[in-house]
Amino acid sequence: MIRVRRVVAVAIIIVIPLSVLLLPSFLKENAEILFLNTFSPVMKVSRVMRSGTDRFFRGIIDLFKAKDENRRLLLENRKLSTENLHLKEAQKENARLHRLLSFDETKVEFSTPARIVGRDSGRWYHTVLIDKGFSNGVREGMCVVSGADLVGKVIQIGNKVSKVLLIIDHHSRVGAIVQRSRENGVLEGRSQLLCRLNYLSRNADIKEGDLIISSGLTQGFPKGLAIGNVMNVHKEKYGLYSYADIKPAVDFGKIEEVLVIDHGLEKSESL
Amino acid sequence: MITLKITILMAFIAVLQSAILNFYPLFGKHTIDFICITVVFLSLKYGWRRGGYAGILGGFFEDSFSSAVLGCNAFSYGIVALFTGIVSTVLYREHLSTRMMMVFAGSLVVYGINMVFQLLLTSGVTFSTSEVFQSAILNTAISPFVFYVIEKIRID
Repeated sequence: MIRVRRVVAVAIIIVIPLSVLLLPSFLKENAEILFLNTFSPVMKVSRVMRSGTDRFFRGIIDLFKAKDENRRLLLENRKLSTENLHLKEAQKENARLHRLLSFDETKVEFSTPARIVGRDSGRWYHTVLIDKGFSNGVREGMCVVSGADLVGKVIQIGNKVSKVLLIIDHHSRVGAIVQRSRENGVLEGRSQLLCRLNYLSRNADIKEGDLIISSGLTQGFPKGLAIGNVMNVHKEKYGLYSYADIKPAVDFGKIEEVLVIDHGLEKSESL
Repeated sequence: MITLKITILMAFIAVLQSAILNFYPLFGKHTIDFICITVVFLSLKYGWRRGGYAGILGGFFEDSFSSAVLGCNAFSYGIVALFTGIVSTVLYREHLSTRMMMVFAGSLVVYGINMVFQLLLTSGVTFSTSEVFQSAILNTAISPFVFYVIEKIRID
């Protein structure tokens, strides 16, 4: 009898997770959203606790660095003021040229800032949880950025929390181009905080240090978002393609706030 | 009552790991797998059935907080509980070194199963064996502190 009970218990431990794995994806998604919604208030409180502790320790460290930092910032300020003047001129010129060529401006239909309230262990998967969800206007497939740098896209939404797939995750695919030479490729996550630009032509004009930007060919991602810089280029002896390892522009280990943007996603869904 | 306490403990550890501890990786890249350590501890102390329950529950939490397919981690932690239960019948399980050894083996089992799932479900996956071993060693090194804390909670 004990033996039978033991066999049943073993079967349950193995069968339950496996049967959940085989459930239809909409059921799995609903279950995950239920978990997310249940725990989102706790995660927000944890984030406040974490940032409070962070601020305290950073404050102490920053005090020691303040003098040098101040001197460096003064110099940088002067340099940036000059640069700003030039950029304003360039912006005006750019606007004039855009009008002249009848270019469509990159339109962002919706944007909302969000804080990162959770992240996974980073061993196999690279996702973060943000404190904005359906009730804040966030929708699945929206693009997530930090400044002008690409972070990832929303893959699951709860009521007040959403899951963001980072560009370094294995499941992530983004159309990308080399800014200097306009060579096209597909950016794939490679974990270990790296990405790979695949499907470059064999004789692609790409070199170490080149900036990679989004091509705008992937739905939901605007064109021109910085992705990262080329670390090294691999050209195989045979084959049609070459590929390059990319160091992302975003420091995914330290990122705390992001911006969720809708680049015409809702419009395309309604069409 | 113990089941309820285990449920609360696993939910607490999953949230703590996702919302706080994963933000501070050791040596910039290794996060400690507190769920695995807890599952091993519970399996050794309260038997593999309770450990298995804790593993499945903790795994479901971890799956829903990450991009993993729901059930993937639940399965791997369930197997860790079973494995720990089976091995512990032939080992002296009260000694700290045995517990630490089980955490090391359990971590490798979790990584191994995750690797298989990744290879089956995702294309172009790369993994480094040395990193897997480093993470397992770190889990093992941290485990006495986690054991101490859980022991203090007094689940029974």
